[in-house]
Amino acid sequence: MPEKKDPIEEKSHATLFVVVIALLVISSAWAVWDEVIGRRPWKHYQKEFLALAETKSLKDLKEAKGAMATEEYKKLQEEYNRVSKAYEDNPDRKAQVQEIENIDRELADLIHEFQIHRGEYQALVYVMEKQPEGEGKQALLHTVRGLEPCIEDLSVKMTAYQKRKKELRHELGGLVREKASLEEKLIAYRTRLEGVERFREALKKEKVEIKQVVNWDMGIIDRCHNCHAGINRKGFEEAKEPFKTHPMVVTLSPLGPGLGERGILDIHPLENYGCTPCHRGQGYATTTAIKAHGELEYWLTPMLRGKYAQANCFKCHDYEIDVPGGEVISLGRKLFHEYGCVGCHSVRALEREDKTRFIGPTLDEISQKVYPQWIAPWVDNPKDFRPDTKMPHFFLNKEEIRDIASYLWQVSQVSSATIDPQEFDEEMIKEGKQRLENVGCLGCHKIGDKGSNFAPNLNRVGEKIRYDYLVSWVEDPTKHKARDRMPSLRLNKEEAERIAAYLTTLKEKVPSQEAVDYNDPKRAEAGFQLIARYGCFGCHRVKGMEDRGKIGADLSEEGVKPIERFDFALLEHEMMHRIGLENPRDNVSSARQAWLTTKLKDPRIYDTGKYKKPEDKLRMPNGSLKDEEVQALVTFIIGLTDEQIPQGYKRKLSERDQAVVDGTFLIRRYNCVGCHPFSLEKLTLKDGTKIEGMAKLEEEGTLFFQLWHDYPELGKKLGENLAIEVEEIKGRIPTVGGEIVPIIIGQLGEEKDLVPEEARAFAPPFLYGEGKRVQSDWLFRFVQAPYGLRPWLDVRMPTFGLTKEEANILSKYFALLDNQEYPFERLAERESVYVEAKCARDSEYYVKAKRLMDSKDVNCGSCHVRGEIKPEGDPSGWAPDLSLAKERLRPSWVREWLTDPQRIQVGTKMPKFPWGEFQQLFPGKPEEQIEAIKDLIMSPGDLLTAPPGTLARKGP
Amino acid sequence: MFKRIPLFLILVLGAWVLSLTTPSEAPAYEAIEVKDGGTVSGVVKFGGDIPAPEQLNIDKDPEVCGHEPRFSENLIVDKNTKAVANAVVYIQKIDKGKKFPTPAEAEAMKGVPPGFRAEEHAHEHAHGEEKSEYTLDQKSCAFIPHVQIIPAGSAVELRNGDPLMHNLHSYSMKNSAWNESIPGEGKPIHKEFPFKEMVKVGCDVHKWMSAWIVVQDNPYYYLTGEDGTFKITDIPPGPYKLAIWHEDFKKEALKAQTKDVNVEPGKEVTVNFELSK
Repeated sequence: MPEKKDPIEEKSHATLFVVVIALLVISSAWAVWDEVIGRRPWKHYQKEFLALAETKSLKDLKEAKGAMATEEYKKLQEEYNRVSKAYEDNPDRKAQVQEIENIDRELADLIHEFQIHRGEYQALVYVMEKQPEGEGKQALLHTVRGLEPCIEDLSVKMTAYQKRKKELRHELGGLVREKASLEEKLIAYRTRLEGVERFREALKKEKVEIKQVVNWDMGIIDRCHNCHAGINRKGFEEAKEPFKTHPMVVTLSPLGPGLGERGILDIHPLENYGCTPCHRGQGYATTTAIKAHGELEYWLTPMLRGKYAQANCFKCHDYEIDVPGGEVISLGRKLFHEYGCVGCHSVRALEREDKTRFIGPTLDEISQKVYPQWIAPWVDNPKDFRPDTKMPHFFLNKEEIRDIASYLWQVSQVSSATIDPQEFDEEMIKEGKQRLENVGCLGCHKIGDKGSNFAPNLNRVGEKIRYDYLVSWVEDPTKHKARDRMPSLRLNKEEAERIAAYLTTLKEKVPSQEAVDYNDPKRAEAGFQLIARYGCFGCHRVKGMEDRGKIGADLSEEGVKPIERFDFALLEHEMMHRIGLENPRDNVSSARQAWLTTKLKDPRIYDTGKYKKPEDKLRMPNGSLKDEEVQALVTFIIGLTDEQIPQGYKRKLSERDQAVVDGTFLIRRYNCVGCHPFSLEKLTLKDGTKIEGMAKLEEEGTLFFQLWHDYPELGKKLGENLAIEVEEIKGRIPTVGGEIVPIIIGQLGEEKDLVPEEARAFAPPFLYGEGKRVQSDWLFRFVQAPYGLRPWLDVRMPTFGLTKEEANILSKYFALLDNQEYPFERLAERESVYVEAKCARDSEYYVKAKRLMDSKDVNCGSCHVRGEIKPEGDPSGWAPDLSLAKERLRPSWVREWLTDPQRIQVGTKMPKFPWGEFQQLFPGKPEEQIEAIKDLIMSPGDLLTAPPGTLARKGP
Repeated sequence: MFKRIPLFLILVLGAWVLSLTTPSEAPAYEAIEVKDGGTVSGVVKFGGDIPAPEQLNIDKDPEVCGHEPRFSENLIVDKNTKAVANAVVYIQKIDKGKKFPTPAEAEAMKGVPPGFRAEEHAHEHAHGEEKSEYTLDQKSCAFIPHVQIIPAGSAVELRNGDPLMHNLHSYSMKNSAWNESIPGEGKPIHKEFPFKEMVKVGCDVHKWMSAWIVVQDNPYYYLTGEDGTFKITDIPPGPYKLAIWHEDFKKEALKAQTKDVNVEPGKEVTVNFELSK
């Protein structure tokens, strides 16, 4: 019998065990590898980054040390030692300080003596003046004259002392300044080295480990910087990805108060904000880049790359018009309003802009306004008539257009007997053209290639609008219901007729004379339906349809709308192929961008290949947008979400910033920038110098640039020119506004042979520093009811019919922009207590000031109007009414202005005050003379215009 | 007590400091000794009918500015010879040549100004006064001289010889612009002109007043007088472009008048200009 073997012994499972164990070992090993390495690609990145940082910082260290071993540094050090020793040991320093003290003593004595002599002199003059003619008077006159040299001598001495004192002060200050400037340069070397050393210290402590930003308020756990290790470190701008420094540097809007340039992560520190609030993506994923970026199926908020990341600025910066650094989204937001998108689409965040949504004219007066033949070709292709119009192309056929026109024609006000186009004589047309150009129409409208694109260009207006309507419109647009923003230029009927006559000549084609009938009520009924479908009332006020809602989709949450709800229709495959996706769900972000971009470029594209009845077709019109406009609008729309950001993270505007935002909105809305320049031109030179001023002339590679501040480091004062090689300029931010200025300069050159600099005074005033110039309550009143302030200007500040609220916003904008008190301020000079105090010290104070102003050598009245008193000559040579100054100007500004007007408004016709003259009229320093003139100009009552001789009585 | 630094010392030091700073701004022109230089001469005439002189609208301060009708100095043409006064004839782009004239020497580089009455100025010469600086004076509400040429980098003394306030407003683009007032017979003011430019100066108080300061970057120029003739001497031989400027003609018209001249050693070339509107 065969031995019965134990099945356990008999059958070997060794192989199986080995295999299983091997598998176990392998899978364990894999599990460990995957846990430690495979699922942690960031470790590898962090190590690589540390190595990169080490190499870089070593190089920096060498360079920083090298810089301190150079001759240049040594020289600097020696120079510093020399200067500081010179400063310490300078025996002159003590002597100079001593000398200043001596001078002060001497001066005090001299002034005392001077006052005594002057008092005697004035008393004697008074006595002499009262004396009847005769020998006694002659004798007194002789004595008076005898006193004069003494007074003059004293005054010369005083001036000399003062001059010497100034020189001494300057010399003393010179050494101190030199020392400080050298010290600053030396510190820069040390700071650089210390910076590198600190960086290396920090690097040593850095471990390879998981890092994260957790912010429960915002609901984020972001781990992006585990791989993007250099994102918030300076110096890795040139490194490869994922180690690059975050690239964005923000420059603030030139219209607002400038913060200068700042890195975007300095404003939004990584530790608070993480990355996903701007870029979206899957912040906590760490296993692969695709997952972390969220660019995979079913992840609803994939990463926004590049400029599209600006979409999210709007979440926190919802009140600002210009988000610094968010140029694309700011443009998108602006276009969304300007192109009238807001007329059809609701957006909760933009509700406050709803009241200004009518971007087109009211159509109530259409039958009086336009030639009937003009309508059909216009609606059929608006861009053909006016290439820069904002009116989009609707997909309407000729019959439909006629139906719509019939409705509008029949509801619009019955036309009075229309006058056919008239013939006007050449002279009338010429005068009309001249007035149109010089009163300032080109600040908003364009004719030919001259003017601004803000309002409709007028190149073919003669083909469109009837003469009689033009006359009444130009004369006073505010009388018309059709008016939106066009202001009244306070023109009289004759002027309006001339301008209208000129406008009727602006034609490119002979308009069709074919008779058109818009009186069929059936057509009007059909037209009504069409208007209801296409939503013309989104942009135009249409009679009988005032209560209609918006016809387009609500876009309040378009940025997070599920991708399934974007209807790609028959184009899905083709479009996905183009952006490298299988399915829209694979990368929701790219798919959404593609859908929106395509829709905006061609709004009816998703009807392609579909069978639809005409009334079911897509309705959105085609605005023929440019590529950058489409990108901006798409970015804006992607940013529209329902997300609630905690208050603490929203941009909280200070009162001043808020005023600037509100003011900027109005300045754009009424195109104040079309006429007024608002800001200085800013230049950054290659050597880092930053200057502000005005470019005067560019010739043969040299820019002649007028400086509007003092630049002691360049050895230049305000108003002086700096000649700059154009290639030395690194950055240039042009002046905001003043589109009409070059037009006016060109025109005056043509017509009156004025050189450009001379013609500049005839352009609208520069509003840089306006808040310092005018009193806020005056400005509040003026912008509501402007009047001619500057008699020499042909160009005119229009009446916009601003509301009280708008006037308040503007007056606040200017005041706060220039850091002035707002709304109430005390102007002491206008109070009688102030006048009494001045008179108590010197009863002749105001009399002397008036004598000085009226003297033939100052003679303010030679140019300035003073209430009823007008200067000689033609009004074009007059200057502003001084009797208005006390209501209008800030006293501190008047003082600055009198001292040196060129420092405030370079190029002004107002000359500089002669320095150190008029001791006979008003003994004292020029500053005292100016102070007195200012006090007189600002004084209450009619001191300024009172006839000579009556002033003294008015004093207490 | 402190020691008073004499005024002249301050002035000398100031001038020295200025002379240090200006060369960097002034265009590079090198003065050399010109031997056997040539001369360009000719006359500037008006082409076509002479326009009637424009009467000035003197609407202010008649007691100083005068009651009689006065005419604009923008264009002064001799009725008989059609000679044009106050035209600037100059050589464009020349980087080496004779040295710049002193203000006194510059007197020889212009013709007799229109309306110049020798007897009125006789005493100046009689007293042997030498012109030591370029000046722009104002008398009876007119600038004197109406046009003058100065070398780049030099200064002009602004004066007021009238018994009332005038202001001088420079409409310059390259040179720093300014607007200064000077009371009647007040202290003169000095202004520098580092760059080549035709600078118009006006008075905002009396709108009709105007003057031109023509800043040149080389010393080869001539300002025509009432006879319209010009003569530019000591030119190093070679080919040049001879240009003309006159305030009353458009830039393009003047540009079209620029002429090529070839200057030969010791010889005189004649070039005539005809300006028309």
